[in-house]
Amino acid sequence: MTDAALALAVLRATRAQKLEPQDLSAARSVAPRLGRRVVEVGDGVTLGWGDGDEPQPDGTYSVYSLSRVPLVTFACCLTLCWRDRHAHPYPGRTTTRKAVLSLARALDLDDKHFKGALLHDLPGAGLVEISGNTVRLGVAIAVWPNAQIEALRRLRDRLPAPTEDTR
Amino acid sequence: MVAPIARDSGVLIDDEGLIEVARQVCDAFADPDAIGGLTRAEIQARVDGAADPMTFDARFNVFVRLELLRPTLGKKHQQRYTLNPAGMVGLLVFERISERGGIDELLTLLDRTKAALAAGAADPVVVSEALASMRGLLSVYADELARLTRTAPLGELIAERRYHDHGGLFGEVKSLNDLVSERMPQLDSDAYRLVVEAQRYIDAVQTMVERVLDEGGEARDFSVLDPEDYRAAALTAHPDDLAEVFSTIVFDPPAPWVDAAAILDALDAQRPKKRVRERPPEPPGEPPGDPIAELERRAAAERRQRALAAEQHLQGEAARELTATIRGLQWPAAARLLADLLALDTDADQPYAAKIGEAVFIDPEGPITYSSPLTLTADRPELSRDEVSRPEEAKRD
Amino acid sequence: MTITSLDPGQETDVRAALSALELARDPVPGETFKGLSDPSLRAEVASRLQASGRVLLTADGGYFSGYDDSIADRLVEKGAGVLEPTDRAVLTLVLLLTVAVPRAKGRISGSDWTDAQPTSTDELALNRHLSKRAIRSSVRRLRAAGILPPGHGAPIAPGPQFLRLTQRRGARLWEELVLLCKPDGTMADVIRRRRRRAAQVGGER
Repeated sequence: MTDAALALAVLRATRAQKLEPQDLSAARSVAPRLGRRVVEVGDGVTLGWGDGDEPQPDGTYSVYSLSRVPLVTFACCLTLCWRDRHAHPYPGRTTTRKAVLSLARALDLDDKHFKGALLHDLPGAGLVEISGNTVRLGVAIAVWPNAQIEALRRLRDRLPAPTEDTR
Repeated sequence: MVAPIARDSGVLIDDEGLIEVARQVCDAFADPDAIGGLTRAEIQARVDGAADPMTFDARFNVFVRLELLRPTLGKKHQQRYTLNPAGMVGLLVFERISERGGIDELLTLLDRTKAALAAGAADPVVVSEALASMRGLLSVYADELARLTRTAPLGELIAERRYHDHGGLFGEVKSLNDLVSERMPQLDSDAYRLVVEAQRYIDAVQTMVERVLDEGGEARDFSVLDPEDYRAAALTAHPDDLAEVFSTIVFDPPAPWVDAAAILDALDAQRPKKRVRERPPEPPGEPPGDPIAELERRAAAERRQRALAAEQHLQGEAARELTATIRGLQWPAAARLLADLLALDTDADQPYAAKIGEAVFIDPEGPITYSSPLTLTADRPELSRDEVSRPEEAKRD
Repeated sequence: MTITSLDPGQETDVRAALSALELARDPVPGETFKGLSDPSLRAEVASRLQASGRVLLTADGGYFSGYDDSIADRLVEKGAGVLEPTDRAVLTLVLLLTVAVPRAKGRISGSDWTDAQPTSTDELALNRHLSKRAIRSSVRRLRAAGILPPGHGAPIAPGPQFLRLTQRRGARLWEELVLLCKPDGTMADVIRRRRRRAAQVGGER
């Protein structure tokens, strides 16, 4: 039981980790009682929610939220990385910082604020991963509740369309 | 300072007899037998001949009222008292007895005694008295601190602790002990008793500090240090030392709740002023309407038209070579088709891709001088033959 | 006392409380969740939290979850969840200026870290070693994590994440500030000696 406790705590504290096999199976066995699910990402795992256990912050408790600029920046990343709307957005395709900037400019997003959002706020929240010039969707998207993904799928026309120079 | 307070308590400070009795009471407590406190009777026994019983009683009560003597917990008929060096009369007494003025005074006395011994200029009688004085003070303080640790509220303990922050005290006492052993071996046992008393005092300080740490930590009582101590650290402490404070604290990484509604609201709030692709100017005479919605309608219509054209070229196939088609067109129709196909390629919502080959055809006589092979492909496995004839509906999901 | 088996309604209540406790920014009001207002369900919530290395805490009139102390010790050993050095340094400055100084002056009482007098990046930058730029970056990251109150322009003071610290962890933080500000005093000596003793005992086990 202690292995599971430590493994689950590690996953919360680090967002994604590679676990030893016995820790992984311990974590998997305990996770459902908490409404959680261990999900594979890359060569490690992260902690998601079980079906039907996904949080529904309906105002009964406060949550952390992103402000407009990071959200719009994220929408640009999502547009460029989530090409096949029928599939799960994660991992999706990679794109470039230039492409995201181009799309953000088309939406009239201020360069200075956009940069902070793309390089600090979004990676910090696990929503995107930046390595060099490459931008990809982050680990948090791997466990994004299905209800949210479905909602965006239905309203995909309202996501920004990629511009010519964001191919 | 003391006089008004004493006057309030109805005491005449001019009473020299009082001071003498007080001095003898202090001496009584310097005795090793006084550890743990003395009863009124025991105190009286040690104050010999200085006062008749009635005067003694009156003065004794004054000492208690002014807190020079403090009762300890215990049975009433066995009431013991400890000496409070900081009591008002105590201060007066100690000041007038000079070399008994608190731990600072003790350290000064210690230094002077050591210096005199080291210089070989010490008078054994003076040294003997100094040793007794220091031992008495440490003994009294040890008892007082133990009493406070047992009974005082945290705030009082915190206040008292500041006067007992002399980390080097024991070392100093030990080195004095060594000097005495070396220079005045006849006073060896006196010096040793001082060491013992110093240890007892230090133990009492540690016990008190442990209570301050336990309760202070629990209450987050920052009055254990001065505001200036914290402020100085904020100004001058090195980042490594600052960082050490949080080295054992675990925090969660940011986990904002991101939902579709929030994303879409943010996009709506963003409201771009322009789109990248050029739009023809609005024909005159049309009612203004909602410009953003209008742009979106146009964009959607153009996307549908392009998709329809692509389907016409593909004729239901998954891929079609369009090089000849383009080359067969007149300029600018060829350019328009090429542009439309490229736009479809970059449109993430559309399943079309326009692949342009490496080769370049040069036809200086024909309508298009330079062209490359172009293949149009569609990645739409879910479309059946039936849907091909109605591509618009197939696009809607 | 934990329930051995729950009916579907109770199971839902427990899970709803768990997800709220783990996700919320601020302590969760007990009244809004049956999993918290019902004592036996709450015990079940606490038990399940324990199974994931977490503990149920009371904070600010509500409930919250935090890392179990011994699990937190293990996480620290692994370096998991420990902030970067500069962020830690800036956070210490925040505590010194917003909590320690005002409390020592008697302006604030109580043991709640979030009861504080806000500071500014200018004041933080008075430290002679840290640049304003580094401080601003750290403040941004700390805000994003709720370690300072979140939001651009929010007050610079301890944030809701401090309410997820156990009593022991909070006391430890207090000791560290004493060690920082008066490393040569008797209190520092006793703190260090107690920690050495505890480490020896831990090693013997």
